[in-house]
Amino acid sequence: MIALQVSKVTKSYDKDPVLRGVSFSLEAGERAALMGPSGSGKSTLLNCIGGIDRPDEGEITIQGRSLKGMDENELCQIRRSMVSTVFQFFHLLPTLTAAENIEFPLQLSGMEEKERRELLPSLIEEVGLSHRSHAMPHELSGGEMQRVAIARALSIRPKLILADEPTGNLDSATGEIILDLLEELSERHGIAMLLVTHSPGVTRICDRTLEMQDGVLVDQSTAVV
Amino acid sequence: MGASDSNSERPAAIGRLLWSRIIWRHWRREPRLTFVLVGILALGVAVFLAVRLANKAAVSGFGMFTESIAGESDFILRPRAGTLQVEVLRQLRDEAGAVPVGIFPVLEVSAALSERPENGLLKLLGADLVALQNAGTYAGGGTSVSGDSAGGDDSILGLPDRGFVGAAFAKRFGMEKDEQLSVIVNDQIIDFTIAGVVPEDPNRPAVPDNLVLMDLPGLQKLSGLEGQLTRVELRIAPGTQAEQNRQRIGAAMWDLAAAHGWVLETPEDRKSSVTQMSAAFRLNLTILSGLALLVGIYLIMQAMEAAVVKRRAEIAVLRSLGVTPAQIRAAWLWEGLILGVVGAIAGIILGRLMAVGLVVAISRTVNTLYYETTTSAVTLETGEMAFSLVFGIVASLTAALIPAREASLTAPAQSMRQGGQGGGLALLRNWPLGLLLLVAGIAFAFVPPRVLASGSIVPVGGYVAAVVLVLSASLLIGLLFRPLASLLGRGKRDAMRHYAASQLRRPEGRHRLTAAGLAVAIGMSAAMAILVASFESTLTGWIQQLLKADIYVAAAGSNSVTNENTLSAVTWQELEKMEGIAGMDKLRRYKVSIGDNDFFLGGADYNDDPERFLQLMWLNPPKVKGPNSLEVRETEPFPGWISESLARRFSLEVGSEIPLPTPDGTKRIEVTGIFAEYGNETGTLVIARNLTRDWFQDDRVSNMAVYADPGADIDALLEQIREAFPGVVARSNENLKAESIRIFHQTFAVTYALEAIAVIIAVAGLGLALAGLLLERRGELTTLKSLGATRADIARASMWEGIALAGAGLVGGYLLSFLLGWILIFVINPQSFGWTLSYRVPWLSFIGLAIITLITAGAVAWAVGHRNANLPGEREE
Amino acid sequence: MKRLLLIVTLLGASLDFSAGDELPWNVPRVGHKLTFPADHGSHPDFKIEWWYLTGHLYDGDRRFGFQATFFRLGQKPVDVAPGDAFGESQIYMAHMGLSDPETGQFIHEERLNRGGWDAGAEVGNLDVFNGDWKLKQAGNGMQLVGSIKSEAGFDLKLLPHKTHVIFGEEGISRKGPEGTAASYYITFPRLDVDGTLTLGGKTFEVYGEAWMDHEISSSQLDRNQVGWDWACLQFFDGREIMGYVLRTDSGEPSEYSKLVWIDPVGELTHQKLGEYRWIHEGDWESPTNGAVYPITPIIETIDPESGIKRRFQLVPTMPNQEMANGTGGVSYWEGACDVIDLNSGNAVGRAFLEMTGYADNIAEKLR
Repeated sequence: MIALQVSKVTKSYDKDPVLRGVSFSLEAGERAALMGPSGSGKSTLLNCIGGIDRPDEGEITIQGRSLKGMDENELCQIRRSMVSTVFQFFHLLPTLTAAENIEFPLQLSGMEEKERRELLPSLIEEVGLSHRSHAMPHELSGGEMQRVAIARALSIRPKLILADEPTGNLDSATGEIILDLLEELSERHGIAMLLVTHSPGVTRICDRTLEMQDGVLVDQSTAVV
Repeated sequence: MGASDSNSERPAAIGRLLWSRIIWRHWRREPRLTFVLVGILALGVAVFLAVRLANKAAVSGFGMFTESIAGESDFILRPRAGTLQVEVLRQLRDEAGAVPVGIFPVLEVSAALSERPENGLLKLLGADLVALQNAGTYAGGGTSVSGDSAGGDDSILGLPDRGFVGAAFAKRFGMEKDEQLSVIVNDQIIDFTIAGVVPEDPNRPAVPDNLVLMDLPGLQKLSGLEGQLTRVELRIAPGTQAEQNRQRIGAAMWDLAAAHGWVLETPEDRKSSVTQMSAAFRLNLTILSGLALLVGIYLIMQAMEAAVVKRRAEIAVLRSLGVTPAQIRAAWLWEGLILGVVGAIAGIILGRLMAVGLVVAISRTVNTLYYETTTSAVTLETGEMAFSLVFGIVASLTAALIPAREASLTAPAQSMRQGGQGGGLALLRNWPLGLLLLVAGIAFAFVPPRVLASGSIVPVGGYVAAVVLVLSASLLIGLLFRPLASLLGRGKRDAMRHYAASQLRRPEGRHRLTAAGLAVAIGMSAAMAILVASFESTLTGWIQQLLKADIYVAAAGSNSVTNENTLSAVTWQELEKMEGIAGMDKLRRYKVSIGDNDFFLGGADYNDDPERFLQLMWLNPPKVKGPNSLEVRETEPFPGWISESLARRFSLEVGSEIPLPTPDGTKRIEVTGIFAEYGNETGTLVIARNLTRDWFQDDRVSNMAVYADPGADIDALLEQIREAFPGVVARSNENLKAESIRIFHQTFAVTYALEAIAVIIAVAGLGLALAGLLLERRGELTTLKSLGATRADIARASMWEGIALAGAGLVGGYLLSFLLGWILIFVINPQSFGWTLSYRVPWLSFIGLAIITLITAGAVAWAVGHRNANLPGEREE
Repeated sequence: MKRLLLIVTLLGASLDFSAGDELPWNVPRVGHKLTFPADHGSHPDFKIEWWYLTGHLYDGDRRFGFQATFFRLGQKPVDVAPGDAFGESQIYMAHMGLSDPETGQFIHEERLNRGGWDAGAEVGNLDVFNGDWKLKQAGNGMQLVGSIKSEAGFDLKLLPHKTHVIFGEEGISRKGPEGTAASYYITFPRLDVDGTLTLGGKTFEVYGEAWMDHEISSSQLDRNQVGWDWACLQFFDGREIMGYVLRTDSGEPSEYSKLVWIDPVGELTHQKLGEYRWIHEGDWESPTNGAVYPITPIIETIDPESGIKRRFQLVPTMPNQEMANGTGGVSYWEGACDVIDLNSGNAVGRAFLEMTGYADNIAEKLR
């Protein structure tokens, strides 16, 4: 099953081309690192896949559903049910507790409270944060915050997780742990992952690396494990 | 660093740099926010200025004819009661001797337009039209009164039915020279011809639009006041010896006045003693008008606080580059200053425009409740402008003060990490201080009032209490957020509502400021509403009790306390004889002065049937009951009943004696009862009419309560009276009650408008605050969107947050209003007005206001959310 | 003489109380015998009456010129009823002026009042008042109490140096062709003055000489008369001249213009135009209204004593003695002068000169 299919995607900002015909695909459970210098278009690509931004041309298909022609609400539905994002700066909602942050997407997708209550402990446990579930984001360490973010991403049982420098704001030891966690969860749940990164260490958990330069993919090598 | 010689140069340079590079650019980047802030400030200043200007214009001309027609007099001589006889004029001239002084006798009589009584009273002003030609001499220029009456006409000297009017009058009634006007003077209808229109002269105040200038002897004939004068105005000719002459005349006249029991005063004295009467009313208005600006302060503080938070990273960078905290603070204060200047200037322009509309409303109230005033055109003096400018700037600087401090406290090395603790004004979280203030506020309410030298009473404690309570509410409002958040968060089904609740659980300074601003607006408005409701219920009760007769007859213009029209003895005697009338209570009202204080003297002739005894609402009922209790004594001291306000003004109680000035000499009156009266705050003394009839040599009456025979057809009787006496106003009991209530509401029209403006500003500020918060939470919005929240979801979250904030403002505001209302009714009102009221909360209005506020706040917040949801996410590449 | 015109203009422009032309006013009659002191008092049955005083005052080196005029303008040919505070039958106007050549100050004030509590004139006795201004009989002479705004005040005793004279033929002074255009014209040509003058807070003990006219009529001037030049000259030799030229709209002086010599015992010599000349000289432009007044006129007349022609030039003590822009916008020049005998070049007396109808606005109003 193809989790993500990106074909000939282009995108410009103010006539300044950022993506110039990007194509690639990810199988279910496949993890790819997206690398490239600053300004090469990584984040734009990520935003397009997440439905935050729209490509000028080309098509993005997630789990067989094309984003093309979807309206805002349909894109929101995709984000609620299929694609999650993990950010470098975690982007937890600062006013919600760890548990509430994790629960939030479930609420948003309209899950009954009872069901959420059943699901939540396992999610928290899965990222190893049971003891911190009532803490506020600002009380958590970076690693803990990223765990919450990951749990939040996992909560909707997505087909695809987009991770934008997931270890970029963590010390290396914590980064390694987070990478292990991502790998493990991807394997366990068969979730495709696209990890944007500068750090070659991240490629450790990736099946392949997509190298981006000036809005095009230049090299699609398979990871050497 | 360290070289002190360069220190003098650098701060200014850095200040300029900060201003041009930082502040100005922020403003340019957010023109809409800047515009709204300036707008709020402008509206606050405008309302304040408008009320001040309108207050001034509304009471500017209270009848000093020389001011509008011939310039201001040096002295005014008037009797303490009744009128002056023309014989005094020669006496004055003799007393003045060789000192050149213009002596201008004046007779003033009120009248009403017979066809348009709703236009209020006209003032017929009798002056010697010949001598008035000399006014130019005293004004130091060549002023001529009548301009355009050249040729053709006969002399108008001594004519009782011709007079000049001002251009404003001509415009107001669409009248021209030689046109006729049907006027009621006392109980007679006369056709009055306009002899000419006094042209506008930029060098003197405009002639009031209700003033008719007549030749004095003509007016004496018309009003039946032959040989009588209301007052005499004295004017010293200009010149190098004017001051000396003024002193000589002043000394001579003072002796004369003292010997005869007259009042000698300067126009300033007169103005201040007269306007003193409505001072409390106007003070209340002024305070209310400051409300909008007060709410504005909260909003500006809130917006600046937002700016501090938003620019904190930037400030940190500046700090690490070596900018001192003082410079940061100065930059913020500059921002407040410039905002204040721009806002105040805009406010002055707006306020000048608003004032025009307000004048009418205020003067109507003053006319109804206090004394006859004629409005003058609204003029914007430099002083007022400067005051407003300063007021606006001070408000803006006050608002900037705390944020400026916040900004200056930013540490250079502070983490730029997002999502940290937003500024959140430490002071506003200090709820124990709030509690302390609450207690202090209540304590202040018990501080006794201050009596000024002028005899007016200022409830200082009450006002301080109100201010302290408002502050306390601002500090305590934060306590409401958590319970409100729980309430809101209870709906776990809706993620956005839950999210909104979470925002409230961790409120920022802005949340508190917004809610505090709203609470203050709602609190003060609701407190006024409580006052009005209490007033209304008390007044209604009073009217119900007071108005027991079937028909009320008065001379035209009786709506106003200043009406001097009376019914002649012939008229009331004929009326008394009419078929179907069982009896009448009669009242003759005079204006009297003791010291510098005017009050009303009523000569009452209560119906001799105890069954129909006019029921006053007694606070201290007389021991001798019944209608004749006023007449039992043949010798001094004569019994008299006083109103509550008179008791307060003169510190009187039952058993006190009043030295009552009358044309027949000073009479001693003993207070035997105190009654409640809400018709005027000047105060009334009621004595038997046979006394006033003898002392004032006057058998006329001001108004009458008519009791019909049992079973009589009241409407038919009313019709009969109107037909027989077209010059009088006859009203049924119901009609008079309705009219009283109508006037009452009209009186408070201005306050309603001011309250509405404050609440509107507060709600607008709520929108502004949310816009700022959302802008700041852009990162969060991106997160929300990445989590699948739609634009509608975000708008909904904003709406709930807005509703919750409004809810906090409402709850806090209403709680505050109960306290403020209590202070208004039991402290400020009795102290400054002398009226005892019962506490009444207008629940229905409160609920209505709450619903409207919540809906409006929700709508505004939703719109803000909907707009901001579409802001581009932060690009972190 | 003259001020009738002023009054008419003034009242016409303001309040229209010049009514009463058709009423049965008394008129001066040929041969009527005036009786004194009663006829120094008021004559309410005549429409117009004035008491006019001018003079020259001295205190050491200081010299002042003063003018005080009380007018009465009848509305109805009856006096104000006793006790009527605001009468409607009589209107009183008054005018006072003071010139101080040393400082160049010229101050004046005018007043208008109805007969009643603050203005009036007694019948049968000289007692006229208008506000704090008073002129009344006192002993053998009279007393004048006056003031000008809060600047000047004076209290003067005036004693006739010689008895009064009555101008005109058979006791009436003709001013125009109509029979009614005439007046009783009673003059004290020389009064000795002493009293006090206060000016700007300073008090001066003053003495000097004055001139007084009392004129009574019901109608005086013709429609075609646009103004006049009038003067009274008091010579150091004890004689006086009263002379005037009535100017008409044709530019020619009216034939009713007149000059009268008064000898030390009050004998009169009347001269008609032709027998005397009034030569306009010395244009002075009013800074207030731009009117140009010939303020140093030359009067040519035959001296009845010597029979030789004399040429007298009037030289004002100061140029600006214009009563500018009074009520109704009327301006005229009225001031103290010295009299120079042009034959000898010596100062031979003092004069008061009056010129009306020179300001544009008055000419307009006269039509």
